[in-house]
Amino acid sequence: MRVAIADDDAEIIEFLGRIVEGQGHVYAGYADGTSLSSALLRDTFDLVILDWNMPGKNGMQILEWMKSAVEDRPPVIMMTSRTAKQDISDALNAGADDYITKPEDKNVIAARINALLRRNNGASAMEPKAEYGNYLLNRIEQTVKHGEKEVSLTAKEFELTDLMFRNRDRTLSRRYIMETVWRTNAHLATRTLDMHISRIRSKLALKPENGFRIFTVFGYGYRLETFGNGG
Amino acid sequence: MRLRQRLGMEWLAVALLASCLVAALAYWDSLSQFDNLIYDQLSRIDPPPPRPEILIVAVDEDSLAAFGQWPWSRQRHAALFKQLALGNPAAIGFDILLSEPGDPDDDAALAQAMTSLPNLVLPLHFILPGSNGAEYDVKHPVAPFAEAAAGLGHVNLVFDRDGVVRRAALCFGDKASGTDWPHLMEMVYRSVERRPSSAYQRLADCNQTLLMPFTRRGAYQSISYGALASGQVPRAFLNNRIILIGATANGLGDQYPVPLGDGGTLAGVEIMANLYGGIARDDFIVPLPFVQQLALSLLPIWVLLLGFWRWRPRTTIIVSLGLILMILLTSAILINFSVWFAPGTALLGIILVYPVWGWRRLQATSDFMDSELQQFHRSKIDIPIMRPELGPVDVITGQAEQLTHAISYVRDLRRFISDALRNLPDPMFITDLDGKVTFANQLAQAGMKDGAHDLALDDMLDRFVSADDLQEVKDYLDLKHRPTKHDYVDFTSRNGEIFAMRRAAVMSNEGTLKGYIHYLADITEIAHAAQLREEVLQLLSHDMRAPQAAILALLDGKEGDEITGRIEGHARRTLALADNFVGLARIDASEFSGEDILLSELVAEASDSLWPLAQARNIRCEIDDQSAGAFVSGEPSTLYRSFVNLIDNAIKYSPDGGVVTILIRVTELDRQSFVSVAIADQGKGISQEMLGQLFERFASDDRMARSSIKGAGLGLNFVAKVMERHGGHIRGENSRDGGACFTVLLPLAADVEEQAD
Repeated sequence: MRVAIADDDAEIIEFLGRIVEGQGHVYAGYADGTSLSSALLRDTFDLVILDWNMPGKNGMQILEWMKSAVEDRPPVIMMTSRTAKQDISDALNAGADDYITKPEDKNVIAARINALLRRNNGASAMEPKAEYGNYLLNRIEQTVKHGEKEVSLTAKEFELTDLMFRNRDRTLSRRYIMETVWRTNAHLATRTLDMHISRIRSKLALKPENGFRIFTVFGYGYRLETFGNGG
Repeated sequence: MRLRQRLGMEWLAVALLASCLVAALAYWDSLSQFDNLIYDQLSRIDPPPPRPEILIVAVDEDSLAAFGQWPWSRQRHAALFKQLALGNPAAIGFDILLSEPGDPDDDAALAQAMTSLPNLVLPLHFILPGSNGAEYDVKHPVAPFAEAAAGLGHVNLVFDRDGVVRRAALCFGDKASGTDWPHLMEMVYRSVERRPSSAYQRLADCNQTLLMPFTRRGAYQSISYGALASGQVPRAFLNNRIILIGATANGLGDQYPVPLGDGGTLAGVEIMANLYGGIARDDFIVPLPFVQQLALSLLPIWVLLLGFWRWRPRTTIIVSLGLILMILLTSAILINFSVWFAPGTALLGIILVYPVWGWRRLQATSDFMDSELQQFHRSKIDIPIMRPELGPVDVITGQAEQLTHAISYVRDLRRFISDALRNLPDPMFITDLDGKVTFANQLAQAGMKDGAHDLALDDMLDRFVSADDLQEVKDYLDLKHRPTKHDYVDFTSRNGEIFAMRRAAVMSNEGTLKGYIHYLADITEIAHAAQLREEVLQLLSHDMRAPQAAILALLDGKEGDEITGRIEGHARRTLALADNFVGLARIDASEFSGEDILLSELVAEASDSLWPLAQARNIRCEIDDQSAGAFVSGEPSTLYRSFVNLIDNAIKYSPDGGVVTILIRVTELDRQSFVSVAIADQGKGISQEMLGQLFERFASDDRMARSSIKGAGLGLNFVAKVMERHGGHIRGENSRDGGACFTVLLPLAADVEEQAD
C-alpha cells in the first residue's frame, strides 16, 4: 500500500519511511504542504502522514482542504511536536483519523499505521472467536480468556472490550464509544465511561507487561495500544 | 409622590373649586351690586339718542313759582289740557296721580278738559302691601277721569337692591288672572301705534323687568308746565308730539337715582321718557340667560387654569390682567347689542383662582423640594463641603437656600469628578447614544491632534486606531453589542502603541442607558512582553522539540551502542526540560479549568507510559488502588505530566530490579476528603540538605551529582505548582526502609450521580 509522508524534516521522513517499508508498504515523501497537496490531486494514497508545522500549507490547512478537494479521502495521521491537549483534540476534531506526537516509539507508530490501513481495507469480518495476543474473545458466549484464566465481564464491559480490541491502535472518540456500546446519543454521565474503562483495564490487566495499554486522549477519547507481540 | 402628580391633583382641586364657586355665584346672582356698578359705567359709554317726538312738560320750580304751592287745583290741569288740545299732540302721558276725588267743580272741569284729548293716558298705582292680606291694592284714577282717559297704565318703578332704577316693568300684576297692568308708557305707545309694543309681546311673564337704556341727562326736550299753561308755547310745537307731564321740581320728591354714573337722580317723568325710548326703539338690554352667563363666566377661568400648565408665573399674571380686560370689553360690547353679561363672577373667579393656584402650587413645590432635599442629603456622597447654618427664615426661603446649597454641592461634585476624569492616567472618553464624543480627558485629547470634543466616534477611531484593527474595534463598539463583565478589545494605535479598550454603560438614575464611557489602557509594554514570552514558549514547545525528535529518529536506525544511548538520553532530557519549562510557563499564564478525572486511571496510564524505561532496568511499578473509583477535578494534562515526573523520578532512583510502589487511597484531612497517591522507591532516599528545597526551581539535587542519572531540575517544581493549583498538597520524605516517598493529596471531586451502567 502507498503512504504519503509530509514533513519539513528529512530525517523524520526517512525515519517514518523505514517504518512503513518495514511493514511491507511503499511511501512517498514531501517536504512541504504545497507539493503534498498537488500530489494528492494526481496520485492515490492509502494513508497520509501529515506534519503540523510545514512551509507552504500547514497540516491543519491541508486537512481542511482535503475535506473538499480530495475525492475518496485516505485516512490521515497528524504528526506533531505539539503536546498540548487542546492541539491534539483540535486536530482530531478537524478530521484527522489519528495523531502521533513526536518523538514516538517506532513500534507504536507501526501499530498505528497498520490500524488505519486495516480499517481502510474493511474491518475484518466478525469471527465468532478472535485472539488478540494473550486474549481470546468468544463473541457468542461473550467471554474473554486471558491466558488460561476466564475473566467475568458484564455485557457492556464485553462490548466495550470487543470494540477496543477490534479497533486496537486507533483513537476512538468518547462519542463513538458511547454510541456504539450504549447505542444512545443521549448525554451520558462522563464518569460512566471512565468507570467502565477502568474496570476492563483492571479485570483484563491491560498493561504493557501483557502487551496492551489503554491510553486516554484527554478531551477526545481512548486508544487501546498494542505492545510487542500484541497486534 | 412625584411633583407632577401632586400638582395635577392640586390643579384639579383648584379647577373644580373655582368652577363650583363661579356656578354658585352666578346662580344666586350674589355679585349683583358689583355688577350694577360696572353696568352703570358701561351703559354710559354709548347712550342712545333721545326720541325727538317726546316732549316733557315739567312741573318745575318756575311753574311752582308761578302757580304756587303743590298740589295745584285740578282747574290748573284742566287749563293745561285745553292748551294741549289746541296743539294736537300724538299722545299724552300724565304722570300725576288722580286717585283721590278733589273739589267736585275742579274735577268736573278737568274731566271736561280731558274729553278734548283723545290720546290721554292716566296713571294708576298700587299700594304695597294691600289690604286684607292681598299682595297689593290697585288705586285707579277716580271714575270721571278714568272714563275720560284713553288708557290707564301703572307707574311703578323697579328699584334694584342699591335703590337705583335701572329696570322697568312693562307689565305689573298677573297675566293669567287677567289682573295685569301695562306700564303707562306702554299705554302711551299703544295709543300712538295702536298696538302693543314688541318688547311687551316678548315678555315671558308679566313681572319680568327690562333694563332700560338711559340717554344723557336732560337730553329730552322739556318745557315748563307754567309756560305751556300760560300759552307761551306755540301750538305747532306740540303738534304730533308725545307729551309727558310730570314733576321735576326738587321739592316735589319725584326724583330717583338712576344709573347715569354721576350719582345724581332723575325725575320720574324723565325716567318715563327713557322708558318710552326703550319701547319705541325696542332696545331694552336683556340679561344673558343663566347657562350662557355661566359658560361665559367659566371660559376665561378655564383659559387661565389651562394656561397654568404652560406659562411662567409672569406670563400668567399678564394673561390674567388681559382676561380681566377682555371680560369687561365683552360686557361693554354686548351691552351695545342690548345684551347684559354680568362680569362680576368671572372677574372674581380670575382674581381668586390666580392666588389660590399660586398657593397650592407653592405648597406642592415646597413639599416636593422638602422631600427631594431630604433624599438628596440622605444619598449624597460624602465629600466634605461647608454647609452654613441657616438662620430662622421662612420655609420657602429656607428651602431655596438649601436648594442653592445642594446645587453648589453638586457643582463642586461635578467639578471634582470632572477634575478626576480629566487627569486620569489613561485616556478616557464618553460618547452619547448617537456615537458622538461628548467628553474626552486630557490624554484622549492629546491623542487627537484636532481635539476630540464633539467628534463622531467613527471619525475618532479612524484617526486613532491602526487600519488593521479598525474593524475589530468597530465591531466591539457596535451599539448592539452589550457590554459584559470582562469585556475589552485590544488594538494598535496609529503610533504603534497597543491599547486595551473597555466600555462601560452610563446609566441614568432611572436605569435608562445614556451613553458609554470608554477607558483605554496603554498595554504596549505588557503586550510586547506577552508576545516575547509567547515566542519563547513557541520556540521551546515546537521549534526546539522538532530537532530533538529528529535526533531520536536518526538514532533509531543505528545499532545501539553506548554513544547512541547517551545521545538519546540527552535528547530526551532536553525534551523533558522543554516540556516542563513550557508546562510551568503555561500554568502561570492560564486560568484553572478542571474536569472530572478518575485519578487511579491517570496514575495507571502515567505508569504505563514509563514501562519501557522501567522494563529496561527490570524495575516493576506496582499500583495498589483502593480509591474505589475516586474522581478529582483537575487539568488532565498537567496532572498526567506531574505523575509521569514523579514515577519517572522513582524509576530513575530505583536500583535495577527494584520495585516502585504506588498506593492510591481516599483519606480525610481537616474534614475534607482527599485522594492520596504515595509513590515510593527503593533507592537511597533524599539527602537531608535536599529535603527542605525539593520543590524549588532548579534545585540541584546532589543525588543527581552523585549518581550517573541526570534529572531535569524543573520536574518537582512543576509538580508542586500543579498540586497547589489543584488545591492539593505534595510532600517528599524518606521511608523507613530508606527509599524516597512522594505523597500527593488531591481534593476529592463532588459526587455526581451515575446515570447508566
